[in-house]
Amino acid sequence: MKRRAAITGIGVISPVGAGSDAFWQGLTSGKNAVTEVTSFSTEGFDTRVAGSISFDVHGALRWRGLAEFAFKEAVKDARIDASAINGINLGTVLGGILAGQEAWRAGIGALPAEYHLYSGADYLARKFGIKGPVNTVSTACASGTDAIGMAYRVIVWGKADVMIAGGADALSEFAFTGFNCLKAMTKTGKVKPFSKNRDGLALGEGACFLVLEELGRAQRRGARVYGLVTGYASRADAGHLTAPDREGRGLASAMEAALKEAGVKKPGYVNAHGTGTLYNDAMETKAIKLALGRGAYDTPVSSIKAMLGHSFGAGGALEAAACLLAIKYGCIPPTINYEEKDPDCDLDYVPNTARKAAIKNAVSLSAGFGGQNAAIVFEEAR
Amino acid sequence: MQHAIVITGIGAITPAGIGTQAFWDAVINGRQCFVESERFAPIGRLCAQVSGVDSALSDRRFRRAADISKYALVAIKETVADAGLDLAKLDPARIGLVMGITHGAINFTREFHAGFVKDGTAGASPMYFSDSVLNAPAGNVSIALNIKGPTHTVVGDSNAGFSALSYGLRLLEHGNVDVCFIGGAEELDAVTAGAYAKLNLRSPNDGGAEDIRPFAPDKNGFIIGEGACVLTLERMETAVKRGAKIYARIASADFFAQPQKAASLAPGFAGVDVLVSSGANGTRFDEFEATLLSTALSGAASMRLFCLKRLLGESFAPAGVMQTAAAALAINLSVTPPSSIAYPLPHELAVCGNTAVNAKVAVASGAGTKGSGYIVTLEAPRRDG
Repeated sequence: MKRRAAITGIGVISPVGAGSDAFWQGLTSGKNAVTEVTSFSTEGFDTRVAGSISFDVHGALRWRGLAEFAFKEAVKDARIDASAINGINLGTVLGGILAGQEAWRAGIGALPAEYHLYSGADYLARKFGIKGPVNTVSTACASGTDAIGMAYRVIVWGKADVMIAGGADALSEFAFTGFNCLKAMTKTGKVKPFSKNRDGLALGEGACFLVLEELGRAQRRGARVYGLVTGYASRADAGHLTAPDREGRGLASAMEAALKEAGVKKPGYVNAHGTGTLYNDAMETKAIKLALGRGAYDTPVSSIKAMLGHSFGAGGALEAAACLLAIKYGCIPPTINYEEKDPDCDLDYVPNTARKAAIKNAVSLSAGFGGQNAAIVFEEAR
Repeated sequence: MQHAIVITGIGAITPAGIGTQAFWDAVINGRQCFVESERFAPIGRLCAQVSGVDSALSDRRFRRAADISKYALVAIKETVADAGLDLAKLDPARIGLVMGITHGAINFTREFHAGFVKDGTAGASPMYFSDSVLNAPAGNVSIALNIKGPTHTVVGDSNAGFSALSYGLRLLEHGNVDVCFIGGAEELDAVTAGAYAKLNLRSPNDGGAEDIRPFAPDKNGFIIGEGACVLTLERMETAVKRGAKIYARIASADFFAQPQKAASLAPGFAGVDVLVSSGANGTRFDEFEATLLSTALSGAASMRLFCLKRLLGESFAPAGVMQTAAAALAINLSVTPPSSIAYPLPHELAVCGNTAVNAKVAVASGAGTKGSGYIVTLEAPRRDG
């Protein structure tokens, strides 16, 4: 019999709230957590805002602290013992090696072992006694989605019964500077995905883990099942290292493959990558139309990055949690700051206010540097 | 296993030179490829560095890419040619790519930070930034070869190459792709060289001889290296159908969280001819590996032990792929590389020796942090699958 992967635990820390209840409350109330950065000087940058979390771990280990918080929450939420977990897939882009500017300032040779990108996953494995494969997945801004998708595969393939997967990244001067020099950040201080006057992204930070469990095992122990992962695909643009394919073909291909695997023709909700940049949002709209055809026009699509900012490795994982909670609570989080209709972005973006809708499934889309695209499908557990 | 998976192509750029032939020549002749690097400020220790990548990089679009991407590009081009694949005839979405990486484009990361620290936003270069992400080598490779299927980068210690192999193998077994390139790449830099020296992991770490002596009682650190290695994996039936050269069949690729767990590899290593060990001379890592191997070795007859890192240094993620390549070549050429170990091995490895055999079964093993490891078993291909 085909093995299925259920989600039995969610752990979140995000700029709109810590814990999945606060996270969901923040998303559905349209809370804008993109505010002035206070952790470093933004003098000389195009923007002064980002989605920040009040969290007392700073420096190179901040992302690891965020990851640990979400990890514990997810395990607690799943009501399992951490020792029952077979493996970890942690998606991250910056980790400490890219985000830890303090040590880079201190000079060459000062980088401690904790800077390795894989050190976060190893730390969690050591701390919580996880014995199985411990992987760090780094596929730029698709990392969180890929980490969950790859864990789903491992369960379906019969290589593990319980996996914990997600993503984490902290706000850093490194990324702030990088996106500033790519001229990708909002100058108006508001992220406005799919809106005609959108002018760029804001960075963010956070962490999210999901507990993925073989469905039969979850049922036998009477676990609460948020939903199932039923389809996943990773696809490459093979075009440009930083710019997405203008026609959205790579993302459409990922979306089509994931929906096909799930046996879903028209999803109830599309959680968009929706960064708020001119090119991403136009590209993504084309991708959704390529994948869904006419069905794209009456499928609700929203981006929660207007509320949270773009948190790299955490992004896809937070969006996965949003999909599962949307299915559970029958409510679609809004795209806030939506102000002007754009002829290039002409889908239903659930503008500004959350919408009640009994949805059976949802697909989350992610895209990133390297021409990475990923799509993952969640369905209600029947 | 759903499908038998075979290795049909090898591409390598290593401190031994450009290409698999240079790699194999060093292996078979036991040639150590250590030099004092002139590329970064001398820190008085040997390293194993790649030379001549720019002249080997035929695709000029990537001439300004980080070294790690260039290594990956050179290696994948060779493996595609070696496998005799015409990628234009394949559906790009059915081609997979899984890369193992440890530190990534650390040169560019350092340059980016240095520019920003010195001159603020004006000193930050977008080129260094975009190439700093750890999936940039995979991204560049997908662009160069028009690979549009599952494209993954897994980051980890010296096990990362094996992790990439393991995931790519399953993608093929379960029919998610028709061809999968799996590899690893790393580049040298003063930052990583300095960091490992500080951690007391580089040879000599206690003033002894600067040399790699894997599993020796006086082992005292690794010699840091770099390079890339990419393998072409296909399902046996596809390879046979297109008349491809088959190096070896991947009989197993398993992760072991704790050394004792390798006991589940019943009947262990009976019948294994060559063991291409990680043997990084990295103090505790060698001990992890010896423990990992000991239970599997308990039922084995004598086998040849070969330690690749004795010749090419510790390149982290690509090392596991290079070890797998060496094991595949040993099987394909029915040759056993010389172990060149003239000192007593620990009791766990007592069955390993210098006996020359025609290799039919070879194992590549890896050891990483926390005592975890991989064991990849390769066999001479049986065309009946």
